[in-house]
Amino acid sequence: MKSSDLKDLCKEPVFKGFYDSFLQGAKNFALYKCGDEAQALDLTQEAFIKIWENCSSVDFAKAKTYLFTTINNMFLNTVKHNKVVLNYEKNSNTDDKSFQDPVYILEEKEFKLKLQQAIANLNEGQREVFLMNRIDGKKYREIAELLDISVKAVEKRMSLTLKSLREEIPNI
Amino acid sequence: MEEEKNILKWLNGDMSDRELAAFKQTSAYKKYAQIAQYASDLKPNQLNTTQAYAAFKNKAEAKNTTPKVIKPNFNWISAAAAAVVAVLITTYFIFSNPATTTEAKLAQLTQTQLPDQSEVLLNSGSLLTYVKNDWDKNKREVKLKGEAYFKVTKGSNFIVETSAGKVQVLGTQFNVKERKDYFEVHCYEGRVRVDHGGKKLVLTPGERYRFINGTGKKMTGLPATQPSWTLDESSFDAIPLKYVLNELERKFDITITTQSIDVDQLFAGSFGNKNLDKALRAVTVPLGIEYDDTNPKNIRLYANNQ
Repeated sequence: MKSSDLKDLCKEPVFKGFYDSFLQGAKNFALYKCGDEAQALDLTQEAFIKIWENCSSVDFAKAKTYLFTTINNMFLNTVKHNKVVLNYEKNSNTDDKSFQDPVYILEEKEFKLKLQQAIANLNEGQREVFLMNRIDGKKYREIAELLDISVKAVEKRMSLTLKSLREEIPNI
Repeated sequence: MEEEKNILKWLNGDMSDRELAAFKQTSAYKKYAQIAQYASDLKPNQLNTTQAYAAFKNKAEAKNTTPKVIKPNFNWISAAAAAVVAVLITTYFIFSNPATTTEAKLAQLTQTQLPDQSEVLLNSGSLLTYVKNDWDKNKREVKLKGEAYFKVTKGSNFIVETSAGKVQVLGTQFNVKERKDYFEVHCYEGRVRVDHGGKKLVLTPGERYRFINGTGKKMTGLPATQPSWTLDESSFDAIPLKYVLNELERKFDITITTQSIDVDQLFAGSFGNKNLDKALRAVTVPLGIEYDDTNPKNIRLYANNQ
């Protein structure tokens, strides 16, 4: 392949490379918005299709931004389900040996369940900001760019989220 | 307030080790530590990219999509295929912040309203972008690829940037056309300032600036009060045929190939945008050209005596 071909998304090896790199991140992005794994994957595949269809006019360097913006826009047009249920399972890596007390373990389980539910009850704007920060470890600035809002707006949503969660989940 | 600021700072990973140690002693930390930690432990499903990609290909095939690469038809067009391809090489991606985009695809006109209530009508095969967050009373800027008719509300400094040149206005109605090697601005109302290739000039109503085939000049005698394409009629007054054929392609979403035809000859006339046959005849008959439309998506033009 010529060096110019390495940036040509219409060439399948290039497109596949792009797809493999961003599939998980894009799917997570969609997931935090809609709260449903199947719908998130659906949205993501549709967005990739859009890029594939317009591959001759998508600049490789900005394809990631285009991907996320497309998912953003597509989500706005989807039917919002009344009840968003987060289906993802937690893989625990908090292995604090000092709390092996079975009573504590049960309380912990309940807490985590309540947390999952509380997150599902957040509105989309709050949920996506909170999860992008917590799960993806993204800083407010990056979140602001991806969602096309201001950093202040991101911070506001974080604050509201924390209040909501705190209200719904009493501490152990 | 202070507590809230600290919590946000902590969650953003912006605390120094010392600040963090101090923060961990506070009640705020105790309130949220568990929530923050357990939320971080939630894991979305990990996808198998091979499987997902296979599913992607099935979906794409089911939609019958193939990447749209429109091949250049005239041999004088090389990189100028960019002028023919619908979503042109992206002004969209010049902005570093996510930008708002409006596009008119082939055979389409698209209207949009800007944050200041200015209205823009995009001709086929055109793209308009701007950054909403950067937009305010004193700074109104859009980037245009293609052709658009603007009705700008009163305010200050409304700028249209194209790869060919910059157009700056003050509450007016005007048309900007930027196609490959062909840049034209019409002033219908108000005043328009054009910056093109180092040249600066001002247009008043009824005036236009045309840059074509390497030369630019100001002209008077605008035929109407708004560009004809906004009423579904494409008109040209002594414009090289190649640009007329490009516009036919964009309007009807077709490709045109030519055989032994002088595409630099000037055409004066117009074609309607609703009926392809009528449009083809409107262009070819005055120039003594024949066309072959056995393939309705790829029209072949050839000289009369062949």
